Parts: sequence; structure tokens; C-alpha cells
Amino acid sequence: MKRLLFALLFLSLGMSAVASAQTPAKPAEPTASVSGRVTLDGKPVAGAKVAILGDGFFDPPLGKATTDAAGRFRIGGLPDGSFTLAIAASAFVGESDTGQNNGKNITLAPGEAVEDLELKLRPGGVITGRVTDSEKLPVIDQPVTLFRFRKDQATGAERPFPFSYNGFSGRFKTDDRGLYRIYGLPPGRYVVAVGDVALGGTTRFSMGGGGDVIPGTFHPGVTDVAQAAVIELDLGEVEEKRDVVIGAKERTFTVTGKLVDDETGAPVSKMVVGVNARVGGGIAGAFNGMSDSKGEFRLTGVKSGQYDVVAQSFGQESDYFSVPTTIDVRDDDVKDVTVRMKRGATVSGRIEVTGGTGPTAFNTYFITFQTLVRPGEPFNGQNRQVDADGSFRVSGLKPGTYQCRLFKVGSTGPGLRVVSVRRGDLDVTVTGLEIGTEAVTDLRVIAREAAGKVRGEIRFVGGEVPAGSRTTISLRPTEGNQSPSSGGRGEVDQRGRFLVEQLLPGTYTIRILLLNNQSPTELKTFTPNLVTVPETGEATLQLTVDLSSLNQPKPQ
Amino acid sequence: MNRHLLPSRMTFALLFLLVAAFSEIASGQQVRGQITGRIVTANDNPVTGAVVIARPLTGDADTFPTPAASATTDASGVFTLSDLPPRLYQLGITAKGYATPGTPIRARLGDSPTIRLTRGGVITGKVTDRENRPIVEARVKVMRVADADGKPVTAPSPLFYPETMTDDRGEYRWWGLTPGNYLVWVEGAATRFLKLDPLEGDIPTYYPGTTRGGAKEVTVTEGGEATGIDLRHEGRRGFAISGRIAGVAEDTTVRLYLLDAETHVPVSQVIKDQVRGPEFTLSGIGPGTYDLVADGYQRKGGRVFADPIRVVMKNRDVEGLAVTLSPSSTVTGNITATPPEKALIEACGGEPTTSIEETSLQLVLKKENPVTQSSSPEGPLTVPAESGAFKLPGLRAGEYGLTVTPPAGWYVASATEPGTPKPKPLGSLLLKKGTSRENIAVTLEFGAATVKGTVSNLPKAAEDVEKLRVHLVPLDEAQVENTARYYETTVATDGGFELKNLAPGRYAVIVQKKDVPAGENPAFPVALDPAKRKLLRDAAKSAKTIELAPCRPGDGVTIEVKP
Repeated sequence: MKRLLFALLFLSLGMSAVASAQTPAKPAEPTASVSGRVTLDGKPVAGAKVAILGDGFFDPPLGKATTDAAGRFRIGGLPDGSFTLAIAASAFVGESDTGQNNGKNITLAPGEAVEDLELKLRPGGVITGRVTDSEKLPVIDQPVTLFRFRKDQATGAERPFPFSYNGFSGRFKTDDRGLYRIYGLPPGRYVVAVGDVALGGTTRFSMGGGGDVIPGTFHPGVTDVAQAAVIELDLGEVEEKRDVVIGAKERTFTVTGKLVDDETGAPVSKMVVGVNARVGGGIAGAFNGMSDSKGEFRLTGVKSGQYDVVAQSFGQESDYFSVPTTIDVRDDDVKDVTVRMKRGATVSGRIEVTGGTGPTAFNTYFITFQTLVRPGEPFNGQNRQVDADGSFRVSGLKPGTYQCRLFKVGSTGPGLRVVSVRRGDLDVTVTGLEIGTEAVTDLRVIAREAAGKVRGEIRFVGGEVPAGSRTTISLRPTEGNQSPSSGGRGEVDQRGRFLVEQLLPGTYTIRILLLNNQSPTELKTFTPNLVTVPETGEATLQLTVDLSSLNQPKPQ
Repeated sequence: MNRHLLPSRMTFALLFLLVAAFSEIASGQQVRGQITGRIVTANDNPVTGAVVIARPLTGDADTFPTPAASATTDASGVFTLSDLPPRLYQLGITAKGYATPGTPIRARLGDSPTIRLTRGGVITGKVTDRENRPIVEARVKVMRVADADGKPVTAPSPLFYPETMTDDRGEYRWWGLTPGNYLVWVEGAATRFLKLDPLEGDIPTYYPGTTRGGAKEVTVTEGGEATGIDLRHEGRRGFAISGRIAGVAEDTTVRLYLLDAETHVPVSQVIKDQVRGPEFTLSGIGPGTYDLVADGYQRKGGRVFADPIRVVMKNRDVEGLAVTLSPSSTVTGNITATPPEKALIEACGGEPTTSIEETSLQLVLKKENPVTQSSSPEGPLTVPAESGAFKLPGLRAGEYGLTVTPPAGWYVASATEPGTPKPKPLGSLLLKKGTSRENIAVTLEFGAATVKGTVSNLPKAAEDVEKLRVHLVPLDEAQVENTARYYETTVATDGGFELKNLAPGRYAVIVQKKDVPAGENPAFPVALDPAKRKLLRDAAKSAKTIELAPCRPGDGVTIEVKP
């Protein structure tokens, strides 16, 4: 079990690297600096801690400072790159209205001195209340979920969306008295809920460890979001007594059964077993069982509903994939569910490095084979650690068309990206690898160190970027670009600067998104709209974005 | 179906119900039973509505076993976990508002454990800075240093230190705490999930607003609330310890933590991936003497450990430390169960309905180093696979004793390791860094006896009673070197003792004070030390003797503590 915890920890580290990977290749001459001041409602804040953070989950700051009596700070000795200028001010809201953090992105050129940055803080709002059951007893240790209203891109109507505050949702829980307190909130219209709630496409879906579960309930004590009391939160306002009274607990049931080899009928052990349910137009899944040496599994805490029982390997070699078995859970336990397991195909091969030298050992890489996920279909794929010599073997793949990717564990900086995938004489880079029931051997995965960068600046014309918005830039390979797995994303800082890293040479299409409390807006009126990353060195880009279309009065 | 432990059942089935037996095997049906227990408060009042989950223990670190059953306690606090295959189960208990039991609760089929829960206590207060402003999202940690009677307790591993955070008013609330005395402190972190920790790089502040030396313990009573436990954080910048990690591949996650050398209180910790480079930094450290501890997990290659490094911090950074991680050790072997003869089954009133997978194997470290001790209050534990094979991986170097607890009705006939010309009885296992011990052979036989008894002439002080051990020393000439036939147990405060899973035979019963040198683990069996085993045999010459018959509970034995 401890090993499992390690595995989970490691996975989360790996994921963090995938989610945001932006740090310079080598902090060659860390001579850049950032200075500015921190204000709260325009007045200087003394004694505030600020720091420049890279992308390492647990890494110490690259530089730090405390503001003086005039709210001023200076952080020197910084490398070039794209960073977060963070401030420890969780009870406040920053300029961005997305509730992500109190800091801001900053792109530094080598040796650059960025002056007079202002970190503008405003007081955050607070929502607090008590969660009790029908007997007025406190509901203890229960996560409280927050939803904030914004416009639905599809319908144009305002509706509540899950709101992630300070980077994490579900962090706020009731204490031993049933009390909760959520702080640092930007102004807006909110609803609070406890239990599992599914709202249009996004859902929280969990299975209990046993016993009955709290039904999804909104303040003040309704299960229908349409009847939920909407909390209008002003800047720095404290909304008290936003209590939630929950009704009768929802009964949950146990599903037991067995995993069997489809051909031989032999039990299949050591697979993680779970259920998938169709919720709000998407698929939500939860895994809480593992098949034992006799192939038997037991899932607890399953609410009434229709599910697909599925099984998959968990971070270990397995030749199997599951044929989902549909079950109906109706007010009783479900027994003797047989899930048929089929032997999937095996793909083995080797990673070859092109355009430079590769790593000394490849075992810091994972290789992933993943089918293109269509809406309404569950994720389908497998990943395995690559051997030190660059060879790999991935088993248990369902028939389908797969794309192949590499990711480096817990890392920053350039890493290998797949340039092309060859099966014999066939180049399957773009078309995907067709996998049937036969094993694929000698797959050549040609990879290259993605050391390319695009550094640039955006000039906005025809209007201003709306207050509270963040701008991001993403680069996607053009059709002629032979490296479909390459691409990147960057945040545009206050000065309009950005840096997109870990790119392979090639031509990319530029996309610019405006993020705020409303749905993301794609900005389409800019020039140029293509950029080419050279074989060596970096590309520079000067973009002019016309915002006049944004400022047109919107039809009501 | 277990071949070793259910032979007669299978024979019966094969003879009379051939078809049925085959279908039974094919469908994996097996003997099933239940565990009925009770959850009560310290005053024996029932705890209702508590959820109990039984999870089978597995000898395979790669599997996370499915809960085999769950139950909720009724109005009398009773729970019944039914339809369970024979295994060793770990019981997880969720009773909101109650403190989590400090030691793991394990049970086999037929056991009826009474689980005592204590209502959790609360520590609450406010964290402010030098200017009396609240510090938001400061990480508040607590560590239990003494039990409700004020007796010092050993701290668990710092990795598993829970923390709570202050809210926008600087207030925190710790609840569900086991009664006892606590240290309360605030501590910074390098970053908190890509966010800046408000105390990053600062020297920790202990309640009531001081460094470790002036810390005051906070007393938590059952269901009580210690309020106003306010901390004023000075915010003094600490110093850093940095260095390099060697000895492991890039696919290793390493955690480093710094403990106060005297109290073993963790003062700083960091988790890093070796792929990000071998350098590490721990910050926010005040002047003092510390131990730097490191361990890690290699994606391919398992656990790795480093020897603790003593670090003396003056008012400056310490640089250039070299931390070398070395591979861990593994102990492997096999358990076989001898099929019982017909006469024995008759004498015992029926065939065994147990499974070899109910056996637990536990390692006890002779000298527990408080700096590197594991997270759990007990040693590494495993159960064998259906085949009888067992494996205890990821061990730190040290001298271990192996304790085997077989299923009900069975005893350990012998425990040996390979030797020439014949296998040697298993003594203590001295594991050097990265070395492993293989092919340990444990033989189980059916027909275990039980002994219950009373110790008279008890010493007055409870702590002296705690030091007493009742020993059974084998008198059969053939067994005197068989370490598996030496038994040892503690004595209850009323003088009662009980020994189970005993091999039939003749024994001397001895009660004596166990002298445990400072730093040694009192749970390490005396008989594993050849010199002490000889002393036991000498004492056996003039001791009371008993004869244990198969499956029979021994008559009540009374033995006297000799002055």
C-alpha cells in the first residue's frame, strides 16, 4: 500500500510536468530581475512575501523578497524564462478574475530588468455556513463545492459552473461542528453544495467506501440546482449563515463479480475495477476495487443507476482489456457480475533519437499509446516506463487507432518529443498506428529533444484587454508539420510578452485565447498567424491583435 | 480453495460430490465466515453508526485489496462483517468525531474484537505575525508527545504528519485528536502546489510563539477543546541546508527531512524527483543540532535509504552535504502447512476451515532508531500468497526478528533457513545494506494448544508489571534449538496472560522481568538471542512444567513472580 502511495505521488509529479512545463533549458546567466510594488485597494502593502516560482510542484522559489514600508520589492539573480510572480495572499483576489492565484505570469528575457510591476490586491469575499442533517446534527469532514455563474458558450445563458478557487476545488471541508468557511473569492454569483452534484457536463462522481452517502444538496437544502439560493458576493463581503441542510442519506449498494479471460474462462487478477456512468452528456468513472487472485472484485458505495463495469491494469504489466458489462443497480446489491477480459495486442519497439544526442538513460520516460478520444467515449490507452536502453513494450491494447507520445517524469526543461512513428516502411505518424489483435514488433519511435522556443510580444490595437482577463497563446503544428505531438502554450504577461518552450522545429498555427470569468474567447483578428521554429535557436514573433471586435456592443 | 489447509474437505468433495466439487473449484467458492465485533467508548458506551471496512491484507505490494465487506454499527455498537473468505483483515473504522485508533486493528474469521474509541479533542487558536496581523494559510502542525497519563510516546514518521491551515482570519482548528499532550507549531514549505507558502523560508514557531526550546505542551482531553492556542510568528528567516543526492537512478523520488536531534520533531522537509537534478535544498532552519534523513522510491528497483547525517546549524547556511542512498533489503521464504492426519482431525473436533493466507509474518527490528523509524508503530508485516510464498521487501539494514502468527488451530512447527548439512533454526536476521535473506522455510501444523494463566505476587507498580514476560521453554530434547517453540507474552495488570498457537509438548513456564537495554525494542523476542535462550533453558530446570495436548486449551496455570 505504501508503494501505491509512492506511485500516486509519482504520478502526480509526472502530471504536473505535463500540465505546465515552462522553464529555461539552462539558467546560464541568472541576471534578470523583477521589481515593483504590492497594493491593496491602491494602498501599499508592507511585509508581504513575493517570490518567483518555476514549475516544480515542490521546488523552492527561484527568488524571493518581502515588501518594504512602501510596498516595494525587488527580486534579482533570475534566469530567463516564463515564471509566476507569486504572492502569499490567499485571502485576497488578484487582477485576474479566474480565481487561479494571486500572482501573475512574467516572461523574462536573459538579463532583463522588469521594473514597476504592480501586484494589485483587492479584498476577497467569504462564504461561510454550517452543514447539518435533518436531525440538526453537524455533517463532519464533508467537502463543500462552490459553483459560480457564467455564460454558457453553447446556450448563451448564465449558469453555474464549478469554481476552482486558489487553484484547488474541494479543499474546503466542514469541521467537527459542521462549519465551513471559503475565502479569497472574487465578486460574483455563487451557489454552494455538498455531496455529489452533477451540473451540465461537469460532474463530481465518487463511490463511498461503504455505508450510505449524502445526496448532492445545495444551500439552503435543495437537490435541484434551479431551486438553490444564489449568493451575490460583493468585493470583500462576508456572507454568513449560508447553511446546507441535507435530507435522508442515499442508499448505496455493493457490486460483486469476477473478471474472466474471454477465451479460457480463467480468473484475471490484479486489475482495477470500477464503473462508468453516463452523467450530464459525458462519461464519469470511479474505480474502487481490485480483482483478487481468484479474479473476484467487490465495489462498494454504488448508488442506484445504470453503469458499465470496466477493468484496467494499474501501472503494471497486463495483457488484458475489459469488455464493459452493463449493470442496473436498483435498490439492491448486484452479485455475480462477469466481466469478460480480452487479451489485447502488444506493441514493442525502440526509441531513436534524431537531431542531436538523446538522454543517457531512457527510463525517465513513459510511452503512451492513446486512441483519439471522441466525446462520450471513455479514455482508452496504456502507458509504460521505457527501459534504460530505449526499448519499450506496451501490452493490453484494444483494437483501434493509436497515437504515441512520450513524457518525462517530474521534469522541466526540454524533453524528447515524438517526431515520427514508423512501422516497417510505413510512416504512421499522422495517420496513427492501426492495432488489431496481432502484436506489433519493431516499432520505431523517432524522437527529438524539443529545445525550440518562440519568444514574442503582443501589441493590442482597437481597444483594451478587458479587466480581469488573462491572455494565453497556443501553437499547434500545421498540417505540413511532421511532428503532430509537438505544440505548446504560453501565458502572455502584463507587458504583452510571452515565451513558448519545448517546441520541435517546424511551422505552427497561432491561437490566442482570452480567459476570464466568462467563457474563453478566441481572438481571431491578428497578424501574422503562423510561426516557424528554426532548427537551432529561437523564433521571435511580433503580433498585432485587433480588439475592436471585442468592444462591439453584444446582442442581448 | 487452499490445497494445504483443506485436504479433508477436498477429499470428501472428490469422493462424494465429484461434479459439485469441480464446479465449486471452478467458481472459486470457498469457506466463508464472519467477524463480529463491537465499538465502544472509553466508558464502554456503544458507538453507533460507525462504518467498519474489512480489507484483506495482501503480501503483494502492487495490489490494493478491495474491501471484502463493510458494516455499520447498530444501537449496541455491534457490527457484523459477513461472507468473508478466510484471510487476515485490517479493519478501517470511520466514526466521525472520534480519534483514529493509534494501532492497526486486524482480525481473522471468528474473531470478535472489541474496539475502544476515544472521542477526539480539539486544539484551536490563531496565528498572527509580528504586527498582530493574521497569517492566512499558515500550515499548523501538531505532534502528540505524551499520552493522557503524561507518559512520553514515540512519534510517527514525519512524512505522515497531517497539517491544517489557518483561514482568512488566521484561525485554525484541529479536531479528532487522541487525548494527550501536544506540541503545536507552524512551519513553511518550499512551495505549496505552485503557490507561495506564507512561511516559506522562515524558522518554525512553536506555541506559544517561540522556537523549539521554549515550546509549551498543550493538553487535549477526551472530547475537550483547548482554545486560545495562539501562535505569534516572528517571521525570522531561517538558514538552508543543501547538497547532492547520489547512489540512485534518475527515476527515483526522494524525500528528505530534517529532525531535531534531541526530540525528533521534524523541522523541514522536501520531496524531489531525481530527474530534476541531484541537488536538494531544505530551508527555514534555525540554529541547532539536527539529523538529516532521506529515503526514496525507484520506479524500477524499489525503496532506497540513506544513513542519517548529523547537521549542526549555526547562523549560516550549510552546503555541500552528500546524501548517498543505498538499496533496501528483502526477506523471502515459503510457508507450508502439513495436512493433518485423520486422528488429529477427530481429536480436534473437525477439519480446519482456515487458509494459509490468514498467517501473518512480521519483522521486529531489534534496535529501532528513532530517527529512521518507519511510519507505522509496528514492524513490516506481510501475509503469504496462496502458494505459501512470502516476501518482505523495502527493509532498512538492521537486526530483525521474524514473528509468525498462524491461523487459529495451527502452530509453527519449525522456522528455518538454509544450512549444511541441514537447515538451521531461524535466529535473528542480520540484514546488511542491500543484502537479502531467501528461502526461509516455515512449517505449520494443525492441532495448536492454548494456555491461559495468572501471575501471582505481582509487583506493585504498573510499569514493573509491564516489564514482565511469561515464557514457555520447550523441554523436549529435539526442540531445544527450535526457536519457533519458544513463546513469550506480556502480563495484564490483573496478572492474566494468554498464549495461543502453541505446539503440543512439554514446557517449562517462567515469568521474569525483561531487561531491555536502552534503545532496544521490547517487542524483540528474547529466545532469538542464543545467550538469552541458554539463560531461559537454565531457568527452565527449576521451573513449573506443563504438558500441552493437541487442540486442548491448557488448564489454568498459576505462576509466581520470584523476588
